[in-house]
Amino acid sequence: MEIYQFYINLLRNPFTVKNLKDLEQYYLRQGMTREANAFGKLVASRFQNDNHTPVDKERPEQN
Amino acid sequence: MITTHLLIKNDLSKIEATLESLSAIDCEVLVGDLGSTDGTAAVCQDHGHKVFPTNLPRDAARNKLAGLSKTDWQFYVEPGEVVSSGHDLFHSLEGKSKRAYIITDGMITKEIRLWKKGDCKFVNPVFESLQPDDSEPVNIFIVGVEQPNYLLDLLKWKEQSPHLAEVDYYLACQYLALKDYPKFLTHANYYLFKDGNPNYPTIMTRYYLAQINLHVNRNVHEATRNLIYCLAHKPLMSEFWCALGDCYYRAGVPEKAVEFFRMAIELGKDRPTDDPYPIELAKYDEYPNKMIDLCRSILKTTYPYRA
Repeated sequence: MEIYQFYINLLRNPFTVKNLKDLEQYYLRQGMTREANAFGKLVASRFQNDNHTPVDKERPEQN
Repeated sequence: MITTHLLIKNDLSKIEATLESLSAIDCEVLVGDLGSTDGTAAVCQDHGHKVFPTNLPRDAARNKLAGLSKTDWQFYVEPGEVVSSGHDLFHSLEGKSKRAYIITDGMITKEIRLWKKGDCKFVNPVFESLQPDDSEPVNIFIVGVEQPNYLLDLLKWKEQSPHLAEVDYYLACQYLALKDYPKFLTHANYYLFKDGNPNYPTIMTRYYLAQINLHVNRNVHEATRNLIYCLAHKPLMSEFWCALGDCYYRAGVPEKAVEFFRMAIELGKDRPTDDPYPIELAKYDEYPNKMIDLCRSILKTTYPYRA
């Protein structure tokens, strides 16, 4: 299922904002607004505060 | 006016505290005695409560007590439990059945404890619960006690209904409480084989499977596989993110562990408190923060270039 693949991607690279964004979009499509908003906040905070990779530039795996 | 039910069986050491706490609620107390030989029944009678000896299974005994009640609203407590707050709410009840909060060792569980006579009935001879579950939360807090050992009753139930998925679920829970992990794994897997739907018991079973796989069997891969299932269905539960952080911490990848512990804190803030799932209080702040500090100190000392 699509959702499991999104989580597998997140496990592979939790530093990539795209992986969080995919989860936000998935929960939005499912009508799970509370969950989608929570991931949305996470995406926003990663963009603002961190040296996390922007959506279009993947950071390579570190280990 | 409401009626409170108690099922007792040799609970002398803990019954007094419960009866004291019930005296703060204006209620009639009906006691079902499942065969006490230590004087518990006499203590209940000394408090002026009616005691009914019974040898029925727990669900039937509770239904019988509800049948004897003369009030609309019913409430039940277990011996040793103490109602700690929300006393005033007992007398303004209306609408659906109510889930009260049970606090035990830093863990909050929610159970239907208040219901209108006739709206629901107890099912299951052990770990009996009220059905149908059409309930809403109420701010009544009860200080709980450790679950008694019902293993013999569960094995008897298993003999009577060997194919019932629920029996394997409760057996798994009981073996987990008894720290008999091989038997826990067997029954948890039986249960998940029989019930494939994503619901409270399957999600929580997978969470406990993950914990045992991680901390006892040291099988990080299997633990992670179960946690993905839990997170897919309940992504705001901090407990699941913390367990994922633990997997990566144990696998020696502290920088990823930090990310998952951060998600535990940030996503956990949005978790609704009124869902039926249990809450491990420490996992929402104290534990993930402690683990983030630990992981960062490892990164600084072991892999300064990664920190």
